[in-house]
This record gives sequence, C-alpha cells and structure tokens, in this order.
Amino acid sequence: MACHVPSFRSVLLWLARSVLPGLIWVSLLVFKCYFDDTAPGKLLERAVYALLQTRLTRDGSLPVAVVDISRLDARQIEGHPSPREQLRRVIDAVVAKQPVAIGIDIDFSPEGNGWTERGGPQLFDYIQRLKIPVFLGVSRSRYDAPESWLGANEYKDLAVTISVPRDDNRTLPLWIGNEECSATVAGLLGRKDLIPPAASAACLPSMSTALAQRYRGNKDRESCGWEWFARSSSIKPLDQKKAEYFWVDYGAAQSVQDQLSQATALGEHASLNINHALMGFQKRIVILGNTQWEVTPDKYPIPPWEAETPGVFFHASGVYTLIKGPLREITCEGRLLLDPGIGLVVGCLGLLGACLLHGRRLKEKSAVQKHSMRWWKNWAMIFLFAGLGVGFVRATRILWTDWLWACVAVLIQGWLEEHLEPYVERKRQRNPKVWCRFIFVLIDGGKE
Amino acid sequence: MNLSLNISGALLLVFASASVVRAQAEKDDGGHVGIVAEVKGTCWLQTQSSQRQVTASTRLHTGDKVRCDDLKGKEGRLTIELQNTQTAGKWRTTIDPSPKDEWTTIRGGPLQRRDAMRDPLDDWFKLAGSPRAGTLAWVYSPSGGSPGSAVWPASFVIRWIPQTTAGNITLAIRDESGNPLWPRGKDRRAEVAATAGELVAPDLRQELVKYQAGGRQGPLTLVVTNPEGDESRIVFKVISKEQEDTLLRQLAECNGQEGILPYICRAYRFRQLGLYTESAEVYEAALKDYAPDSLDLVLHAIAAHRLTGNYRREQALTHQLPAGTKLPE
Repeated sequence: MACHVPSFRSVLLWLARSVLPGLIWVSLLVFKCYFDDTAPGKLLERAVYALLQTRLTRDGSLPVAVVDISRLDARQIEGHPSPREQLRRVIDAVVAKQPVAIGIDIDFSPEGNGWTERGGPQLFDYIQRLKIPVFLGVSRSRYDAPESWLGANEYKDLAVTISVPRDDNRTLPLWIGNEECSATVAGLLGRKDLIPPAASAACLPSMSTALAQRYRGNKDRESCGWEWFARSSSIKPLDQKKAEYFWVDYGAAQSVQDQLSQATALGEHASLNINHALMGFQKRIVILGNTQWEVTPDKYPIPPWEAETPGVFFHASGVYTLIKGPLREITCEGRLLLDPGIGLVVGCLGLLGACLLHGRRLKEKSAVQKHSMRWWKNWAMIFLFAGLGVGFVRATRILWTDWLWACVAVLIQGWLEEHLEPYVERKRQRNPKVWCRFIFVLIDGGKE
Repeated sequence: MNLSLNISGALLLVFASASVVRAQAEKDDGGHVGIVAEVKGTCWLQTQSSQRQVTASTRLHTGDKVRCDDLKGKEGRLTIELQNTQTAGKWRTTIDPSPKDEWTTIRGGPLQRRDAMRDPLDDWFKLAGSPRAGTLAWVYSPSGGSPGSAVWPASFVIRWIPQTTAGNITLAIRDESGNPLWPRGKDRRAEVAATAGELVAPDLRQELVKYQAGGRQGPLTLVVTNPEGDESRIVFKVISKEQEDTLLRQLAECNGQEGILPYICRAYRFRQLGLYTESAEVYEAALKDYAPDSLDLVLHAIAAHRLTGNYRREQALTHQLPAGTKLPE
C-alpha cells in the first residue's frame, strides 16, 4: 500500500485533535490525584499492582528456599527433645548443606517472664558460634531498645524484625529505627549519598534486608542515580520510631511454596527432606518457618490473589525482591516526564499508522467505515499503551500505572467522538462563528 | 592471765578473720545476676578461675559459663533464674545438655523495657479483647456487653443505641442494696427520648462523685426500660478515688508519647479499669484523627466495641474491613 503523505494542514488538524486526548489525560491525572485517596482508588491501585505482579519477569532458579518447621514442638512435650534442641538439630542439618545464610521466622522476643522455650541464651550462644550467619526473628520487642530485642545487648546482631504490615501487604519493612538507618540499605537498593549511621543508632533490620545483604556480600548494587525518577523505598513514621518500606515482588512466592522442604526432629537427629527441585541449599538463602496454613496464626493475604499465606513466604518474597533488584515507585517528577513522553510516542505511532493505513482517503469513507476505523484506532492505541506500560514495568521494575489511565483517556475520547460529532455538526451549521471552530477541530478534526 | 589473754587474742583473731572472709564473700555475691533454680543430672559452672559442678542455688555472675552433660541416659538439665535489671522481675530459662565444649555464657541480667508503653504495647500486639459475654446489650455506657465494666464518675454519660421507635426510655440507678441512687426518691425514674442515644446528667455525675468519695465502688445497677416496656439491667462499678488518681497519672504518661502510642496507651489504661466505653472512644478518636485507614486500629476498635456491647458500631466497622480479614476473637 502506498503511503499518502499528509498535507501540512492535515498534520496541523491532527495535532489539534491530539489536544483532546491530551486534555482528557491531564484531567484524568488531576482526578487521579484525588481518586487515589478514596476507597475505590485504593482498590484500583491494588488491582493494578496485582496485575503487574503477574507480569514481572521471573528467574528459573530461586535464590531463596523455605524449610517448613511446623512439625517441631513449640512447647515442651514429655518424652520429646526440648523445643530448643529440636530447632538446633534442624539448624545443624541445614548448616551442613552450606547455605549462604539462614533466617528463622519465629518470634524470639522475650515474653513477660523471660525467653521463649525455643529461644534463650543457650540457643543464641550456639548460633553465634556458627560459621554461617543465622538471623532470629523478633516481633514483640521490635520497638524496644537493642538490648531488649533478644534480651541482652550481646544478641542484638542476631535480631531481625519479622513484622508484616497488616494494612498494606504490598510492602515489607527494610528496617525499624530512625532516618539514619536508611544508609544501612543504600548498597542493597543502589543508592548513594547517604551518611552511615552512628554506632549508637538502633537499627533493627528486617529479615529480608539481613538475608539479602548476606547474599550479596560486599557487592553493592550499582547506583543508577534515578531515585528522583523512581524511588525504591519510602520512610514512614511508626509509633515513636520510623521504618522504611519497599515494594515486594510476590511473583516468586508460588515457586517458593512449590519448592518447600520439610524438617522434623523427633529422633536422635533432625530429618531434613530437601525438595528435589532445589538440589541442595548451596548458594541459597534458607528461611525456616511454619508454613502450615491450618496451624499458624502468622498468615496474611498475599498479592496478587490475596490468598491467606504464611508469613514466611512474605519474607522469602522480600529476600527475592531485594536480591533481584527492588521494585520502584514512580515519583511525581518521574510521572511528569514519563506520561507526556509515552503519550508522544503513542501519538507518533498513531500518526504513522494513520498515514500507512488510511492517509487522506479517510474523508472518502462512509460513516460506517469511519466508525469501524475509529474503533480499530482506539483499540490499537489502548493495546499500545498497555503493551508499552507492561513492557516498561517488566523492563525497569518501576511500578508505573498511568498507562491504565491513558487507556481510559482513549476510551473516553472514543466515546466523545462517537457521541459528540453529530451534535457538533448540527452546531456548526447553526453557529459558524470563528471562536467555535477550535472546538469543532478538537471534536472532529474540522470538516473541509 | 597470759593464757587468758592469748585465748582472747586468738578468739579476736578468729572473729576478725571470719568477718573479713564473710565480708569478702558478701562482696563477691553482691554482683550476682541470677541463681540456679533447679538441677537435674550433672551440670557444670565455669568461672574465671575455676570449674565446678553446679548445685541448686549456685549464684551466677556475668561472664560465668554453664553447661550440662549429654551422656546418654544421664543428661543434665539446668533451670536458671536471672534478675531483670529493669523490672526487678525474674526470667527463667533452661540449659539443655550439650557437648563438652559448648558453654552458655551468663550475659548479665536481661533487659526489657519497662516504661509507660511496655504493657500497652504488649497488649496491642495481642489484640486484646474478649469474647462477647452475655446477651447483646443496647446500652453501651455503662458497658452492657461485658461483665466487670466500670464508670468514671466525673465524665459519665449514659449512652445507648438510638431506638427507631418513638417514645421514651426510663432510667434509674440503684446501689448495691437496691436503694435508688439516681434519681433520688423511691420509684422515680428519668425519662428521655429513645431516639436521643445519650443522656448527660450533671446531677447523676454529682451523685456518683459523692458515692465514690464515700469509698464505695458498687456494684450499681442501671435499670433501663425501653418504649415497649422491656426492662434491662446493667451492672457496673465506680472506679475508686485511688484508681482515678493512678489513671490520671498514667494518662499523663500516655500523653507524653508520640504518634499512635498515646491512643494505644490510653485505650489500654481505660480497659484495665473496666472503662470499656472510654477505651472504645479512644480508638474512635484515633480512627478519626490519626489513621482512618489503619486496619489494626479498626480491628482494635471492633474488639473495644464488643466489650461495650455497641454492636451497631461494631457491625459498621466490620463492614469497613477488606474481605477475608479475620476478626478478633
């Protein structure tokens, strides 16, 4: 098909017509600012986040594995080894498989009368002697001073928070403390320009943070310098302290569940059944936790389908996210740059498509043909926006959801064209004033 | 004479030596941070200078190490009791059998925060609430939903779920002997529109303050009759003056906190005294002023309203929860 080169006038007309979707889009973005804070807005935001969760890229080999310890006793049972001894045997068995680091998703915070039956100085001393780093969960004492996390100052380096935010399960904490703690995760998130925290700063890392840092060792993520465009985390007040949260890629959660290993410790030695898909724990992070949905109270709805899932899979997803690379939330500045940019790209592609497919012969088409072409054009633009949006998210891990609003803008534009054109035509015939012409051009591109 | 002097001298020397030894021993034991509460089998204590078998009541010092034999059939097990340096409470932990080279070090008395927020925070994370006791009550101040509810005379307001039917409800409070406390006079009752939802009665507050000043706490009974003539009785107590003083001090401590903590703290303090309505009001204030979208707050507010018996508000809050949210039990 020969391409009919459009005249200068028709390009001008086309540009004028582009103002309409632009205006619609800007209006929608302004509306979005208010809409985001409403309940339907939050529902939509969650839905888009869930959709993106299913579209993020996946690696075949997971760097994190979970071992179910729900068969271990939490309380002393007559004739059984003590709960601490059972846990220790499992740790011994896992350590023998040489993982990079181990996290234990149990709350070891002291209770009112002292340490829990699994915790206590004997376990903490044993863990400190191990060559492989092991991190112990704390929840009850996470807002306390470091010496209270596990009951003594000497154990504070073992402690990690295992809290999962109940009001927003899309994020997990990086640390609990004060703003200074942000520097402790700079290397993990590919950030620079932060002053290291004072030695006295009480920064309680999360399990995801501690384990991912061990996995990456001293290899700081390369700083991309685009925090102004898309931030990887946000600091929020948390009681008297603060916490920094990151967006979690839950895409690996199902694979981690499928590759679950099992531990029991009733005999002389622990029995560790490693999932055959894993081929051992070498070069992997291992998290021990209760994965039995029926017996654990530690479960939360997990995106994207909000099925209640044991907390240990949240931490595994957190580790996966931080190892693979943080998800990023687009900033206001980033949005100001990206939205018009994508709009321009789609507009140019639209112009090219129009040139290739219809050229100037559109005017010669019948009303039915025009309607059909408009329909195809709108849906092509919607698919283009969706494709670019999802592709952008997959490639950059930036949670940019405005493409959805661009699609809505195109739908609204199509509806306006469809329903306002006859009305405008009537008005044009009755009131051909000069000031109205611009509106006519916006709606239908102006008639010859 | 010389002999007696020598004996006296020797005795003095013995007493003096004993005092020195005792003083030395007391000095040594002054630094202990815990004791061995129980020993089973063979366990060992390693100090800087020696190693010896542990017996019950052995004192433990910072830096001491303990372990128990893991010989098959002769496993030892220790229970040690460490003093909490901040609360003066005692923490117990056990030492299981371990290989010969694995010692557990005594790190000094355990530390745990003991401030105004310790108990409220513990309570917050347990999502305290109790199953609804008794039948659904339509009067929720004083709390009809749970036994053991109390009122604070100075701020007491009678509240009920507004009735849809026209007409008046009647109210009367009787003391523990069944005598009318308010309104004064035999068989007298206060009347108020059933749709009003609350009654602020200064004369009632005065009566309760007087009642409290007399050192009495109740139980009192609120007798309520709805427009249909159905009578309900709500039993409640009045907090004592001492409790009120302590409460005011605790509330002042709560106010010194930041963020959501003042709300958590105040709600906890009220609930500890059975002031369930005040506790629920605190959560409502937090939802209104601090974090309207906080799921945790909504869950706590639901639990608090259950305690008061305000089932209508409980239902309204429950509808705000995302689908699938587990309600507090």
